[in-house]
Amino acid sequence: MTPETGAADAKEEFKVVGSRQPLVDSWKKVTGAAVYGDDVRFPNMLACRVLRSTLPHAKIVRIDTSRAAAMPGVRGIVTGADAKARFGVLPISQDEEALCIEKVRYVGDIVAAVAADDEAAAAAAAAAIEVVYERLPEYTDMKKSAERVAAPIHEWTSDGSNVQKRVDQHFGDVPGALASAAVAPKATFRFMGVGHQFTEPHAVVGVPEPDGRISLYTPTQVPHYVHKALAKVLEMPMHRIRVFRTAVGGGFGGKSDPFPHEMAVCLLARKVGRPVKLVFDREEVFLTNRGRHPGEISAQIGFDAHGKILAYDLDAWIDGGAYASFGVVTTYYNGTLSQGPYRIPNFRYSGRRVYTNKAPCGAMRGHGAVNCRYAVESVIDMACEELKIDPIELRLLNALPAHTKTLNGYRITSNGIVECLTRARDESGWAAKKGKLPFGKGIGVGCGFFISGSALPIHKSRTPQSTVHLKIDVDGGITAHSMGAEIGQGSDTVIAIAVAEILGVPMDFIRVRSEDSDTAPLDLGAYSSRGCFMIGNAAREAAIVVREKLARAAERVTGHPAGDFEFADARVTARSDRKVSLSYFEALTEALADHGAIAASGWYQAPRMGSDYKGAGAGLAPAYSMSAFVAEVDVDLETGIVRCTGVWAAHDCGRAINRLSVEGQIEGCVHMGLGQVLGEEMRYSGGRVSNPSFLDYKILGPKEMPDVRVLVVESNDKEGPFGAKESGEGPLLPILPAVGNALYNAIGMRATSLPVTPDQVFAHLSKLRKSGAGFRKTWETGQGC
Amino acid sequence: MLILPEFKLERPKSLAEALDAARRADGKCDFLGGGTDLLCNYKWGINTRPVVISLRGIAEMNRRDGRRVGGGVTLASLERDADFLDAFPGFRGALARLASPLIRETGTVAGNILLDTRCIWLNQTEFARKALGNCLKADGPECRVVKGSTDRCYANYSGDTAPLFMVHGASARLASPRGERSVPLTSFFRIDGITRFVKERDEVLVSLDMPPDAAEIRSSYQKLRVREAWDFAEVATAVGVRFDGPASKKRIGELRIVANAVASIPLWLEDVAKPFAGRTLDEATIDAIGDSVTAAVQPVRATWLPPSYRKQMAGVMAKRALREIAAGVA
Amino acid sequence: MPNKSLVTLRVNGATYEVAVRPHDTLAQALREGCGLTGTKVGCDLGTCGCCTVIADGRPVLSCLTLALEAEGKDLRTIESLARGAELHPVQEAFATCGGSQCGYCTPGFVMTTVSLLEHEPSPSRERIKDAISGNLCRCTGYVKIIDAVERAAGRLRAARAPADHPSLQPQG
Repeated sequence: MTPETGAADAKEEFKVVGSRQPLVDSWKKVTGAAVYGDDVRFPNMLACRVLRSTLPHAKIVRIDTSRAAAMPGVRGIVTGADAKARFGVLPISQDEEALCIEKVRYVGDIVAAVAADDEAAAAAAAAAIEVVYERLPEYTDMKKSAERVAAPIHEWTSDGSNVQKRVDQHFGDVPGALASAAVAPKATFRFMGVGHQFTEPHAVVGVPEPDGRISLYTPTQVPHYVHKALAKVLEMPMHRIRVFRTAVGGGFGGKSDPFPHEMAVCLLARKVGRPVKLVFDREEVFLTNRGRHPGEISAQIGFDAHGKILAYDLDAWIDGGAYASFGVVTTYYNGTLSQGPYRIPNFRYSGRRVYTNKAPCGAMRGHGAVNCRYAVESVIDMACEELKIDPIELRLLNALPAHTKTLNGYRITSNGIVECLTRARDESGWAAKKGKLPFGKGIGVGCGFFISGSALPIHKSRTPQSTVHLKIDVDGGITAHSMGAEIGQGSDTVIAIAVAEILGVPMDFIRVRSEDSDTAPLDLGAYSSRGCFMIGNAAREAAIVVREKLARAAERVTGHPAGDFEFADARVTARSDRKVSLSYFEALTEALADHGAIAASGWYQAPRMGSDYKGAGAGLAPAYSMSAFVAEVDVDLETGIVRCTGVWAAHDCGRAINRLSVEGQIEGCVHMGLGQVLGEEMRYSGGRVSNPSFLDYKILGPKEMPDVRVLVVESNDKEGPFGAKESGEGPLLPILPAVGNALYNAIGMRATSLPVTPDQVFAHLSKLRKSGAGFRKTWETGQGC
Repeated sequence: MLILPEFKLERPKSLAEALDAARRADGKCDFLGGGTDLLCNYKWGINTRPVVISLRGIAEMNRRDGRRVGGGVTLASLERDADFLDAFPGFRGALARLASPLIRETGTVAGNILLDTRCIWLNQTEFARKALGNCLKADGPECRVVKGSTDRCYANYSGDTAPLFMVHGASARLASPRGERSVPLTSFFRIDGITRFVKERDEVLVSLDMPPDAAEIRSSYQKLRVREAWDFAEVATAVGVRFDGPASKKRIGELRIVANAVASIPLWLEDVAKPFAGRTLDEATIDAIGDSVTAAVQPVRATWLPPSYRKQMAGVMAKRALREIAAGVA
Repeated sequence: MPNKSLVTLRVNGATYEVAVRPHDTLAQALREGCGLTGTKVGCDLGTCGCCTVIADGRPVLSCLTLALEAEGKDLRTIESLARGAELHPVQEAFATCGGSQCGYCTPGFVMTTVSLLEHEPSPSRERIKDAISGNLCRCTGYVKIIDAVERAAGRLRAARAPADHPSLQPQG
């Protein structure tokens, strides 16, 4: 079936959509009943610990497990010899091994896994495994690693360097446009890596079933990709493998790869014939990483004298660490996702992803778009200063319209950027504050633009990206089956709301089962902010099928035409004659007669779109979210400590299916983005992560959180379910530049290195003190706005 | 999950039993207070010992008795002790900004005084220390912060209560099989990240004893850290002032300064403080004291923020503490 | 290896005899020995608060408490709060206000909040921020957690107040 256009939705009055619904699984979470990876228990279960490489780059000469195998309580050990197949989340870069085969590529690479009676025995045995390494040159500096090197980290990098991916795009005439620009500010920005650092460490259980199948219990965002990778590594057909998604204690992209440890625990379980559980400690979460790439981004933007954008010229170097993960996509996104929310008539981008001997980077909330967004929005503010144009005015001047195409071929549908900017401006009191705050206090703006689900599946396929099954039997309850990964973002609740809305039944009629690959229809998982748009559409479609069945049943009972019935308050009522009405159960009883349980399927497949140049698919989405945030900062002029004191967060989510979740996602994005700009960084010593703990990795606490005023903008996307678009990732983008621009406004410091640390700020303030310029705003010294 | 190494747990009910347990362990033991410091180090496999002697069952250590604060008193109960805070209001802010509320519920006063020194190289798992290279304090050949140092550890001390107890003139009451002794806190610490203090391995820090005139000192503790919870001090300064004559005249009779988290022990800056006796506590004096504190400290790269910055901030924290004291008597 | 010994833990009003080793933490004993897996372990080092339980009325980090040391204490975990399907007001507030997303930190936050509101029925927003600052949440940005604590405080106050006092009736 074809998804109905949402046009009708625009006129409808919704009963459930748009309300504030507690997450349908929240009762499990607030009572401690939710079962996370570490809560899974089986009889006869063994504990696993892994042996990790302590060297950044080395050949494995020999592994001797004999001493470890003889230790008390040890039941089995697997090494690289037990699995030859390589895997990875992207089909084009399958460079990971369940356990390192010939060499180790970073400190933390898994070399062996031990199953034993308890964790202590497993840990002791892992430590007793003898590995003889031959050290190889270590490449930890991204730029040096991009040169021709003696021992490339992976053999398939073509030119003897460790460059994994190059992207070069040029649309229009960038040099020409820059030459004609009135102003063309340029800056280079450096970003430290940051990590997802969900509170639940990875914890998985592999179970050998009595019939020879293998089950994996894992808190994953991508059960389907894990399933595919397991089939490859275990060399078993997919139908002989079951992936059970446990409750996921936070993901943010950090549980969206098939992982070596997931493979290892299944290999062990199969080898020893008993369930095997592996629970990571916090340090192992840092070593597993897949966080946001550290990197260096240069941006030059040309404007005419009125402030119209003429050209973008971007250059991004990203440090991938030891494996590819989502890196090919990240390499594209760092440039391509800066194509909105402004009209850009000329665009050039050069991107490089380089392998280094460090913990592998991957996809993290706002994937690929965050650092580039910071660079672009900072340079835009530099232009505002030169042109003496208000930053919000200039952004409004350049705003993309709705229903258009970008230069690189993105199809823009709904677009609430103008409303985002004006509401953030008005609600924040921008006019009264901009240029009027004392030295040390500042206000700034930043925008965002993000995909609402990747239009192209990772594996080329004509299978829909989301399918939802509904089952209704005599009890009247509606079971929704989906493999959409609930990770706390509320995708199960979106399914329930969509079904409740269409069928007019209370929320407690619906139970969502989204854990088990044996029963759930395919869904690609929780990444690229695709859940609400795609799963929501699939759930809505499935519910419409059920509604039609019930309407036809109502017609059989009443003789009234099926097309005239509406569904609300658990009743089926004729629009043209309110007296013709029967209860949901009466309609259901008729629908079940002679047929048995209702089974219905709905699916979503993104429409074909985009251009045909190389890389045209990167960043294509059926819809895009837009956002504009205003932030205020307060700088302690003695210590250089920066606090964000207020955020006005306007985000165009198309329509808020669940307003509570939309607000929660935006507030969470503010927190995570603020962390990256004011505190979080993964530090390295050589190739080794040197701050792998919550004490040394500075996630902000409640006292660092500003007041956040969420401004929900609803542009009603015609293809989104009930008009909805994403709100889980896009709102992370604008907070970084909003704070960076506010910091500039406060003390005249352009933060070109994130995170902004107190010592950087203090050094800037000291320079001002010594220069005699003193603590005056830039406009007071005649430097612009 | 990080699991604790094996050890034998002794749970004495009296000080005598605790000291006896320590004697039986022949020094191969650690005393356990709240555990929020020791058990982390144990989980990291840092200097673990086969016997752990819990002091929680020793009733006399778990209460405050006038000017005597039992070593086992939790930081949270001290924070809730209105009489104590009325007498020593400088502790109010220090306790409220110590670690996190959950750590304070379990962490004890003695545990905080004896807080192990910390370092970016040291406070890591065994795996990380193997990968990063071990340090002097954890069985390595040399200090990683000050390269080449094979006899002295430069790990950082960041206990928040010791500097305040010092400016109030408190003494540490220590008990061992050899008897009891009382050591002024100002001579309790010994500059080295491993040795740290004069307390012997088999000695228990039973209580902190304030002198009779302790409440005459007006004190403030100012601390800088990246986050307002969890983080240890990157730099902090405690200041104590005994005013000469009516406090409202702000004439400094005696000045006491402890620079904290800039060395392996809290630094008692007697020479910095002395010249300011007799001066009026005005902005000029405050600035001069702050500058002297900055000049006197020499932090090293053992914490999150760079030492040059922390050096500057030691003075800023001193100024803030002095301003708070001045404001309190205005 | 030191032998396991039986320790008697009083948890949620029930008595558990659990075999523990001297170096087992209370978190391990609760999860593995008592089967109470609602208590979570997130960082092992006291810096996330996921493992918070209540001991003798105050919140403690069960990952940094030895199981043997918990003997004789009145312990309460997340499992103690709901009465059948009726959630404790703090639990209800975390669900209703969106104070729980992925949920992994939730048991710890709930126990911290329960203890806070037992001692301080009317905390200000600033005081709530202080009190929960030992618990880490990666999802919510804390905004809705603070909302939840406020809502729970209101409902608990109302429940304690005389029924004829209209201004103290439960909200929502």
